[in-house]
Amino acid sequence: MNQGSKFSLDLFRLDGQVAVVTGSGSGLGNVFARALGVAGATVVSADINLFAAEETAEEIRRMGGQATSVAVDVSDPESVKAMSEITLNAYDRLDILVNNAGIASPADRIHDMSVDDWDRVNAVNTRGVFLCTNAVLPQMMTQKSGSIINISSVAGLGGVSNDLSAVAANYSVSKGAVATLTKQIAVEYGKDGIRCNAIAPGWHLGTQLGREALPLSETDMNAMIAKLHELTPMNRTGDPEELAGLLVYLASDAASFMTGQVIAHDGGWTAW
Amino acid sequence: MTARMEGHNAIVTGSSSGMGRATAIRLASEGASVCLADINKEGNAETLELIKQQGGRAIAEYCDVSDEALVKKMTAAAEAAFGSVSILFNNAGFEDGDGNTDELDVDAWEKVQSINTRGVFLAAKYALKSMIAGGKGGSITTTSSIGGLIGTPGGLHSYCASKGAVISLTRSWAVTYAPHNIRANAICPGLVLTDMVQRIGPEFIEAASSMTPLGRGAEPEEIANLVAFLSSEESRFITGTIIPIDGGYTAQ
Repeated sequence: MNQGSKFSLDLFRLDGQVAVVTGSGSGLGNVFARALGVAGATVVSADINLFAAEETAEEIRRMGGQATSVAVDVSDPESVKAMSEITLNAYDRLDILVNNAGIASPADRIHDMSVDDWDRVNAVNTRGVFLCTNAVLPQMMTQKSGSIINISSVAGLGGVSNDLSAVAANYSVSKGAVATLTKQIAVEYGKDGIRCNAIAPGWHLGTQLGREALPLSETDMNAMIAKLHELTPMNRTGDPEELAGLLVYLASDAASFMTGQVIAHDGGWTAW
Repeated sequence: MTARMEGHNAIVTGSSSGMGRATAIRLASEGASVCLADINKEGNAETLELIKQQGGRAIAEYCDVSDEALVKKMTAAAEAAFGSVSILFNNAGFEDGDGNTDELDVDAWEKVQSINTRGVFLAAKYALKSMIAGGKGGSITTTSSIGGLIGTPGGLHSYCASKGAVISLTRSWAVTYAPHNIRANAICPGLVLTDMVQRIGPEFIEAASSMTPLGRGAEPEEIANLVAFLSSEESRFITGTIIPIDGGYTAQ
């Protein structure tokens, strides 16, 4: 039924579009890259680890999608410029950017935090989002269309206790900056036909993020997970795969009036 | 692919026009059975006809959402037709004769509150009972407004207050009913080119468009896409969120 209706789920399709996903070699980036590939986009899988980026691209090709890989250090302007040039030389367009690359440091409290840790996390999580966006905007402006999706965090929406490992001020501040940058991009480039939104994931296990800070023993890890469940209205953590639908929605024309938003994906974490 | 909502039973209030109609059609087109609840019988019959033309499943029920007995009856009709409710688009809203607080008549205040606040509460009350009894979880999406988030000059004080109230209700539902796997989210549309907005006039639409980063108002179908996503399993970890869909208006 419903053939030819304008309400068709075809709105969620991304055929003919080119998407760049940073940090695509693992965790949420891998989920995002695969989701875009399944939805029909040609994916440029970009990671500092080229081997991991290529593994993701290969996964997409095995599923019948189109993907290539490129090495990128998002904190390095020359590297980011090269990523953008490689993409445009290959495909001559760029429709979707997922600013996903991010790192965390050991979860030191502010009075114990080293300046190096502060700078290292912000170089990737904050400067990296700026640099990648800076590099793709001219092409999107030429096309008069584009969708940028930044990965913020619930940690960017409010303070999080250091008792919950993996969250420290350098991380939460970088994710708050990403939320603000999202709104700034939306307001500056709305008239250019470019949309920009952010996803603020809550607790999703099974990613590599913050592995330096996670508890070492199984007992401590289980205690932390139990605490996370208790603090989440839905009484569970998220599965990274659950983020695929939101990402594709924001990337696609289904979200044509949605811009400047930071959408929590957190089982209700921020609702209380 | 088109059967994302297969097996789902939805109630859409305010289904006779605008976002309610677009969403009802959208949910039905994806396989949901839809109970159309509206006080406007003619408009509601048109929505029903549009769904049936596409081969969708729906019933139309007369319902004044401010009247508890009618909401109870409407919900029972939905259950009788399709089984327990799993989706509520809590959308019926009203705006007319509202104004600034210093000159706002109490009856005008109450009229808006009775539909936009009490009606939202009542529709949720009976849908929640059905969702809990059904034991399969559910999703409630409530139509708030950017007027529930920001100050808006030039009247609509009761309207904006009601839209703020439903944001608060949404958060309460999210944290209260999560153990039943019932999710609750609110959407805050900005300028949407519905009949309600068209009535205000072209000058308003032009001014509001120029203040919107995307430079235009939304078609109701663009809002329906978001509601369909929030009603679907694809958003199963999203609850308690308040999502503006406003072309960037509140990002400024």
